[in-house]
Amino acid sequence: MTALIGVFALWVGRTPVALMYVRPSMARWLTLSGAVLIVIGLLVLVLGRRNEKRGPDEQSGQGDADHQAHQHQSHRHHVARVGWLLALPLCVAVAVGSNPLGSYAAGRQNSQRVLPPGQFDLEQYLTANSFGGQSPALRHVDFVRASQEPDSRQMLADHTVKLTGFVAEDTDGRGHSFLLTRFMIGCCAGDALAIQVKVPVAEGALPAEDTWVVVEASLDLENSPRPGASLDPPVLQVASVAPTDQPNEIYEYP
Amino acid sequence: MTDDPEAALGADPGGGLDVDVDHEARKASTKMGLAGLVWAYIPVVLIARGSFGYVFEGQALRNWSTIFVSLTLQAIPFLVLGTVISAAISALVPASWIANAVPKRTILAVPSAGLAGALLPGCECSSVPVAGRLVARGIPQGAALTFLLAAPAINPVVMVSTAVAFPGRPEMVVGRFVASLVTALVVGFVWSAVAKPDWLVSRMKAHDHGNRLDNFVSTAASDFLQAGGFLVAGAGLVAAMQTLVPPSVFDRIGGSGVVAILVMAALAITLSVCSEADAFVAAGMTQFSLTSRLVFLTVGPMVDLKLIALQSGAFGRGFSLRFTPLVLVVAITTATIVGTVLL
Repeated sequence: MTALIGVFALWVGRTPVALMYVRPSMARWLTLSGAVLIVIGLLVLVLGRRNEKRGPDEQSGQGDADHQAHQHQSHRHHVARVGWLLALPLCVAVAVGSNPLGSYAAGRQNSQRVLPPGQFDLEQYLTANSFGGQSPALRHVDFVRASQEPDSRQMLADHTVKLTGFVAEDTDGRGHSFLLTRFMIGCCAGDALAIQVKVPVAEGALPAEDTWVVVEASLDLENSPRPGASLDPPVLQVASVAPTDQPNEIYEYP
Repeated sequence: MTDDPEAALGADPGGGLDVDVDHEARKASTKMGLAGLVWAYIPVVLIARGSFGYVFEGQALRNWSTIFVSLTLQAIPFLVLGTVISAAISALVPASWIANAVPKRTILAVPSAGLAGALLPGCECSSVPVAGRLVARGIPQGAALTFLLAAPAINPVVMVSTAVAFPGRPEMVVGRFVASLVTALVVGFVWSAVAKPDWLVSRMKAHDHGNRLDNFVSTAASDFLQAGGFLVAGAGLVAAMQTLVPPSVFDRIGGSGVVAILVMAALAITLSVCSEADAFVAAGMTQFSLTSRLVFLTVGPMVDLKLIALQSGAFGRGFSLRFTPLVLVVAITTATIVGTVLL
């Protein structure tokens, strides 16, 4: 049992699936703990067999089972059953499939959460990456943070940047806009925060929900909320919207 | 799958007493049945997905499964760390050494346990098996519980992430440290003074086969399965709460005063965010007063659904029924006082 959970953890840790659930740095530890579990599980098996062979009469070499059975019978049973619950996440993942958080979770987010602070030099980044007329890719969190600061807003309005995210419904948009969304996770999907920007589109050009798109755009100063006035998503002045693949790193991290 | 001793016994019942044979055989067959169910389940579901796909396409179900699997996977490394430490304490550290290292008197034992907790960078999932093992090894209950509360709440990693989440507000870091440490100490002292020994039943088993490696691996495996099972139950519950009660509900509540404090305490319990990430969540909830957010940060690492599940697994249900309300009251009171004074 222990070894099997270990195999599961090791496998998840080694595949991109892990990034749907935990931070990339955590995937390494998941792999490692999977390996530890496999070793422990196999050792229990091997040593258990050996003790069994040694026979029940031997005082100190009694099999684990005998030892426990004589002392905590009902108790052992209870523990063993609880351990089986560890197979449940695997069963659920098989049944439901592994999905990253999507527009459903985004629609139910607490809209009033402020982004955690971070160090990011927008000006330096833009000058370093805007060569040959290419628009630099910007993380959602950096874009939205900058849009809320009086100093950097103008820079976002003057530069076209690339933002990648999935499509979530804009309930106030009446079909003329969608919310380009990316989740930021601090620890795991349990504490995810949806970071959204509003993308106005032409009538009938709304991409399907939960599809991934890359948007080239600048900040629309007129329609975006003023810094400090509200926490509504900033509005984009769109140059292009194109479908794209789900990125390897599905979430952003603080 | 047969690394579980019970299955082995079922196959070879000769070692047991006569009266046990029937019982053991039945237990073994139950286990085989369970194992069969779990592994038969996978192909059945894969086939069912083809024909009844819509059942599994529900958005809420998908959301629940993502959060559930995520919480479990996130916890596994910490759980492994905790059970390895716990097994090492059990198998490698002699009981006499522990008895000598820990001060006999409560007045010294509880504070030193609090400090030990502050130095160990662990999360709640690792501190439960370690504390459970400490109790099983004869450390005074009050001291072990202080360690249990302090370790996830005030370790260096948590303090740094709090400082990052609240820049220019060092008083938040100080407040969190003070409120959490005081809560852990008060609970430790109160428990030492009031608790009857049978309130806490250590479910952590000792394995003694006379061989260190053998003791180590069997303790680690049984601790992991024990704690892991309860963790999964807690994670399922947390994911359900997060899916059924969307955070947007809290948009309309807010402000300050007693209501905010109680709402934030309730949020801390249901969200069960890791102590390393909760400062970022709290920093974002600007509609709540700073004091109520301090309550969130103090309660979160000490009382939440995931932890209650883990603790009842390690110490029994009777323990949780008494310990959880005690910690909750002390944590809310302490954090409110510290918040009022400092923030």
